[in-house]
Amino acid sequence: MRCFKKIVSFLLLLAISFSVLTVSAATALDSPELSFDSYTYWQDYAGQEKKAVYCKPMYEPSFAMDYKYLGAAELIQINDVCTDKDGNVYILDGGAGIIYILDKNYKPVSKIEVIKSEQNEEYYFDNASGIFIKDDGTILIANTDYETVLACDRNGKYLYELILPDSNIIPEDFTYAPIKVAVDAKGNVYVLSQGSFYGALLYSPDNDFLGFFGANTVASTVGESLKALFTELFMTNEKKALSDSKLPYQFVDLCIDKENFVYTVTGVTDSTSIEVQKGQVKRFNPGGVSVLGKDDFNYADATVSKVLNVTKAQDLMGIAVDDNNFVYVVDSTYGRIFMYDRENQLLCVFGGGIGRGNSLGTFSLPSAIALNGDDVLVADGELNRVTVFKITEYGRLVKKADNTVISGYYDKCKEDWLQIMSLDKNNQVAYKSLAKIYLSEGNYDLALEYAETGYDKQTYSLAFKSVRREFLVKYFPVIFVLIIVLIIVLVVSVQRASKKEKNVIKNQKLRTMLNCLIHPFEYFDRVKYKDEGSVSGAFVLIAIFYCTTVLKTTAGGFLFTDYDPAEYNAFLKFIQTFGFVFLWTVSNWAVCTLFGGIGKLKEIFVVISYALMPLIIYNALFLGLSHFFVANEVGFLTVFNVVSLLYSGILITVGSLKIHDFSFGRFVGTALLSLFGMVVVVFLIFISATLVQQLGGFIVTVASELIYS
Amino acid sequence: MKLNKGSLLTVAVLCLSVLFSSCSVASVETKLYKTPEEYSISEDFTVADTGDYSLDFIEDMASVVLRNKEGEIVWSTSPIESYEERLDEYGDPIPLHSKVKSAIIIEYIEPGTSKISTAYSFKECAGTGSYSVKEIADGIEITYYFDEIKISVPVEFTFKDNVVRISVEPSRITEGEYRLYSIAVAPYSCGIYNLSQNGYLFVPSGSGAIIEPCQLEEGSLTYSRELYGDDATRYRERELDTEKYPENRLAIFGAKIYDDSAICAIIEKGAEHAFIEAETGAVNTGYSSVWAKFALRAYQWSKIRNEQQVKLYSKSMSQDTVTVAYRLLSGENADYVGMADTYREYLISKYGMKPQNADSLLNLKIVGGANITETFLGFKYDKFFSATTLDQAENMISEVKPLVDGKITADLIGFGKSGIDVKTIAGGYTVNSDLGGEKALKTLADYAKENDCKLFFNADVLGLSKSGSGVSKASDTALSQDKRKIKQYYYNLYLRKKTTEHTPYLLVARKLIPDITEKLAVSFSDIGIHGFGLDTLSTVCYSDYTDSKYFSKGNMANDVGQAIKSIKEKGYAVAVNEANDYAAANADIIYDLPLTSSKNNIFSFDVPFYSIVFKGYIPLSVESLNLTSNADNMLLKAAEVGAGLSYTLVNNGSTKLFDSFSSVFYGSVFEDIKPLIEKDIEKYQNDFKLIENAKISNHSILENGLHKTEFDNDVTVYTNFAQNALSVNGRTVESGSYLFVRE
Repeated sequence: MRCFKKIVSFLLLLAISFSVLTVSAATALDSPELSFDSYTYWQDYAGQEKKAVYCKPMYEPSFAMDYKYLGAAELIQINDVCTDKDGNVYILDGGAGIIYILDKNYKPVSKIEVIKSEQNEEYYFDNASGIFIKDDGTILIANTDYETVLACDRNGKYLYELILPDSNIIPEDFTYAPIKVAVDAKGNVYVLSQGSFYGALLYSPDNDFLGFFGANTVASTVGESLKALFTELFMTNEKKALSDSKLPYQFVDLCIDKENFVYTVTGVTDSTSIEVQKGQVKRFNPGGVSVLGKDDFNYADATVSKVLNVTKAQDLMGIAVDDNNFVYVVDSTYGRIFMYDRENQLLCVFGGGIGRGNSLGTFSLPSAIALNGDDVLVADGELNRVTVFKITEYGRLVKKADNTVISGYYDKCKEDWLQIMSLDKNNQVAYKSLAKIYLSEGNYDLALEYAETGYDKQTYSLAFKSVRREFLVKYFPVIFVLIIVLIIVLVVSVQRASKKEKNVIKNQKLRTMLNCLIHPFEYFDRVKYKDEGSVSGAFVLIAIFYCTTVLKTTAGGFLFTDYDPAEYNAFLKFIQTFGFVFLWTVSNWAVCTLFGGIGKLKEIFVVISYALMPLIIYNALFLGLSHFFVANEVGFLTVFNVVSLLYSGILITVGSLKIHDFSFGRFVGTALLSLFGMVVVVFLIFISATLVQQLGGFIVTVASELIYS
Repeated sequence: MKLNKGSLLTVAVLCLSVLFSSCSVASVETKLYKTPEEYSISEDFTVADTGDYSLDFIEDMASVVLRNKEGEIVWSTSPIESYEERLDEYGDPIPLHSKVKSAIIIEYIEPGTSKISTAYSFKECAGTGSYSVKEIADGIEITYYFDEIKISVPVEFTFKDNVVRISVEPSRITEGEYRLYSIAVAPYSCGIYNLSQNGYLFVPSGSGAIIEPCQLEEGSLTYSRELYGDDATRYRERELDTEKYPENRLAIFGAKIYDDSAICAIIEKGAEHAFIEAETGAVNTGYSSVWAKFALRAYQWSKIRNEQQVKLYSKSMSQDTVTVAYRLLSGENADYVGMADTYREYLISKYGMKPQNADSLLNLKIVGGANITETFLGFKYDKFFSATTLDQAENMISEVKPLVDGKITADLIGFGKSGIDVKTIAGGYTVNSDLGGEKALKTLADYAKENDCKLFFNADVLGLSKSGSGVSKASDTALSQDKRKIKQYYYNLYLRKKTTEHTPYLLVARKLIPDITEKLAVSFSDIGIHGFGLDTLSTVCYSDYTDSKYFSKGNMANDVGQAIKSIKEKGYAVAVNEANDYAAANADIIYDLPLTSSKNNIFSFDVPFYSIVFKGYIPLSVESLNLTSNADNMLLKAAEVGAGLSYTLVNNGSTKLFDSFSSVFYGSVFEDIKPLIEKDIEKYQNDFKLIENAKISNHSILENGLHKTEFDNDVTVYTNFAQNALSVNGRTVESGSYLFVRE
């Protein structure tokens, strides 16, 4: 029979090996109107930081400006695109050192190939990386290779240059290679230099160097801090010089809003992470202090992709902000544009291509982003074209409504949000906004409904507090009387039962089990010496513990639980409950046997299971109270949790002392060893599983060789 | 039960034999290459003469040209313009690149490395004299011997009924160690000069696209896409697909050469193997062109060490004859509209397509339901989410029907056993009981009949992830060329990679398609519906290597055509979706009419070629307005080609549907969409009536950017897609608006 099983297993493996993957073809419900999927992320959805969902497009690609459009023979490398206050568009072909100027209707007007001074000196800007147009029409060119910021007018007339200033602040080894430049409303000039981790070089309106502005900070762990302290205290200067130092990453683009706050974007914030980056976008106040407070937030996609075994790392490299502080950042690896509002809520993601885009609206290598009114312009340095995205009617509506609600004018945007909701049921911001609006109107039921759907726990909590208050005001006398009556009935029943010495519970083992909770010393003693421990009762307790643990998540109050059926891992819970009990039982038995413990396997199992009772009670309490408490009352639940955990610990301790006949010290020692034993068992299980997996892979490989040879 | 060793061995052998027999793939041996003792080379001579035209063999090119009675070359395997002498800056004639002068270009697989290399007939055969010619009826057969790589390809050039046809029979190709992968037939016969002012290339991408030639300082712009989409039996490659785009749906391409002459190339045979390729801007050739490349061998991506992906090519070659027919267009016909007219005539003669006079203004897609994940005590299970019951569908129809003066159409999608999810084949040939079951469908069908509504029941007759309804997952599915069952995965929304969140499915064995469609028709015979929606059948093209006739997507057109016919013979109509030509020509309505191209970098602008071909013959309906990024723009596009409007609807939306693979649920709730339908119908209904059932007689883009569509009932529509108002004949067409004029 075993042989038969092996053959069947082999055949199954073989059959599995025939199935490989491809990706589905189109369905009737999927149409390629746009060359990319329009989606957004729900934030904090059921405990997930980001959940991708389809959404109605807020932007659609309108047209692309390529060499033909610009009337050029060819474009070498578009490095930047920029607009001025009148809507004129400037496209920098850095590869060729040419600026193409278009009017606000995107009609090519002129181009600048060389900048000439009054003395007819010629200035070239091939390989320039960035441009900026000041309100007075001055064009600033981050002339990277020439180590200057070149200023000229629309006709290519030389005005001035910003060179590396002579200042004590600037380190000796500093390389001045400007890549981006921006000017605030006061005329201060911010220059990003290639490889500079000190922040932007800040020049006054009179072009005097003022110092460095803003900078990324180095995030360090406790271990790293201790290491740094050790280095500082005990190492020689030579050794210090040789040790690695962790430097912050440089900004790759910046822009300035109308309040003179500077937005920066950093492509890579953690080179050790091949997964997602975090804190890529920063907003600095005019004093250079970061005020966004979202250093642990990933501004790009939720995860990264691997293509042909190579991880495609995220790389946010362009940023733009409009007058209402809607922020647009572009990921050059994935070709996506992420649009955030000023409260850091993602509104939509558009664009695409994942480095191989060719169709309108997708990209190979986005190099810059700019705004022209409602239009979003994205330059592609590989395809050498600038794509113009137009806002859709839906997008316009969302921007208008979002701006109004953030400004606090709840009464002015309700109809807009309802319309948005009718067009796109997947708009989380709409749910949140409507929840706030209904809360402000005092319509708590609707506020609760929308806040729950939109995972807005803050608004939900406020609305629920009001609902609860109304409920209590209305029903307090009834509830009070009911509680008093219940207490009286309970007290009288207990007194009567004790007078008659009547046992309500007939089963002795069950009685022992319940009494272990109140009189652990006495009743665990009975478990040991009168054999009153019940294995079946223990199993029932574990099962109840599992069920209440699951229910705590799946049926607990909205404010205190995060439950997504698609993501919920019941197996993990199962391991956490049953697995823990069984592992402890086996490990503790093995350890205690060696150390002279007299407890039997069954008794250990009974003790650990009975010790779950406080946790079961806590779970039950949580289930009930989580529907009644509001967010700032979470402390009560935490206290209950701690008490239940401590009580369980006490039960395990007392039970173990009794069944093994140990001293307290010996119990602590064996308990620690038992925990270590559990880790060893888990490790062995992991190793075994890996070996089985490798064996399976080997068999599949052999089978493949046999089949395809 | 105790089994002895003998029984165990027998069981094992039986199981293995069953397993291996179910995984067997067909193979076809190719003839072995042999260099002829003597090449039968001829001097120039006329191989066919119709009085108006003569097809002449040209020795130094080892190819043919077509001359008119004045002796002018009007068609050739090289660009016509290449016969005009062009001089370089020194006054010397510019020599033609061998690529441009080649009658065929082959790609072959190098032994050992599986690397693909290219060989040109002009350089390898004409230049060395290694070819043979043989006269055949109405033409000539030229066999090209690529001696170095030991591959010979016989190519037939015929001229009959004013059509030049080039055919290749793969069964007569011979090979040695090097194996043939593809043949590009007359790649520069649709060639135009890079600096041409009036010429353009036409590519059937989605709605249709025009490539205006250009000349780059270095490099070139290229385009290559499979006709009818990627072979769904090929795995892995989709992981690298990073964009969504409309596929090439029509087996036609062409070029406008001069103001009054154009060439229209129709792939008459072997279209399933074709890639539509185009190139412009190349300074070394000086010419831009569009052509068909036929991939006669399949490939699969396969992992080798370090997970590197390599292409593995099939041993066997497709045996389907491939034929491209070139027609000359002249005068007013020499443009993409003329090509569309020619192609329509071809479809009429091939598929019997005829005008249906059945245009409908309002075309609904009603979605039944989908499976969602629920948990019981933490353990997951699939639960059917009822998005629209059949009763609710009836309510929807009854609410919108009064808005329309005429028939409406409703396609019930995801009303089968598993909703929109792919489980048993064709939704188990049944109606989901949660949605009302067959009884409710019958009631709805009766209601639809009484109320002038054509009711279609949509079924996926290709995909299955569960055995049942007579189709087994183990033995009735298509195999790839390396004997594997290919799982069809769904995309991850933002990474566009396969996701395991939804159960992958398999494709049914090609030979079973006719039986399945027949069974579908029989299963619903008592219900009284108007027809079936066969969207996957009409768009998905795939291979099945259990039979040589299905190699490299072979015979899909024929099989689908037969399947649709068998349904129609039983009295049912067929609704298709963004369909390939073979399905569209046999259909009774086309949903999701392609209205844009893939917007590839090489394309200059889109043209509504697909609509020009089918308008007036097959009722057309645009993509669902409630799910487009710009509903007003979609309405404008509908007006441009006279198509009906479409909406995707559900009765109950929920965030529980977040995890559904479908993108429709966010904006389809009927109560929300109804005002949009009312507004659109009110705006468009009277105009639509003016062009209902009319055919498009001409289409052009005026100099100021207005799109002008002329219908055969003397109605002209001007549509303005520009950002500003435009005027025509003294009348202003506002931005984003249209103007209907009866001339």
